[in-house]
Amino acid sequence: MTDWLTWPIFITQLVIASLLFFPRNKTFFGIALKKIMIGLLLLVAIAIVVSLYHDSTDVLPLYF
Amino acid sequence: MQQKFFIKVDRLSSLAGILGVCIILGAALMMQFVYHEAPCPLCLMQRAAFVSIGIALLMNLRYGNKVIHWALVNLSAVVGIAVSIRQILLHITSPVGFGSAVFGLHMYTWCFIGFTFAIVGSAIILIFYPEAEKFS
Repeated sequence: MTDWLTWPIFITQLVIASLLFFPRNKTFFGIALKKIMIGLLLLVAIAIVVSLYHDSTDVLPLYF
Repeated sequence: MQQKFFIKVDRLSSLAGILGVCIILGAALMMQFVYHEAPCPLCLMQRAAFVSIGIALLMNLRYGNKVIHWALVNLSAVVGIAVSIRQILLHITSPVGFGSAVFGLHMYTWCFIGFTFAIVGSAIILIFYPEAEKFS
């Protein structure tokens, strides 16, 4: 995982948070939105774990 | 009477957790933009873990208090604590640590404390949860 891949974690979380605004019983391709949210949150947890090898001194290309 | 009490406790605990996450993330953003303390990859992943905790708590408010939501809080906090422990151990031998200190502790140490609170809090709620589930 490269440094830039820390940002898709936040984008995925933004998508998960936006799903909260849909009706409770809404389904997407037959899958309840809540289950999709739980699956995506698990994916985020896995993504964080596989990023653990990073060092604090790794430089991120942040421009601010 | 008991039902109302449990529902109130469930909602208040979720709201308190969300408030805590907002304060932590707000402080991190303030350190970044006001004090120009650019985040490292491990700091970003700790933030991501806090955001996951916040989303799981919001799911509590949106879909009702459920064991799986508190389990997600716990899982995200465990993942976050793994990152903060890694960062603490990386700089444990350094006399100055990494980044600037806030109230005497570095930010990754504060994150460790925050994640510990999240784990302990969700565990306490999960201990009392079966009683609350009967009424929901």
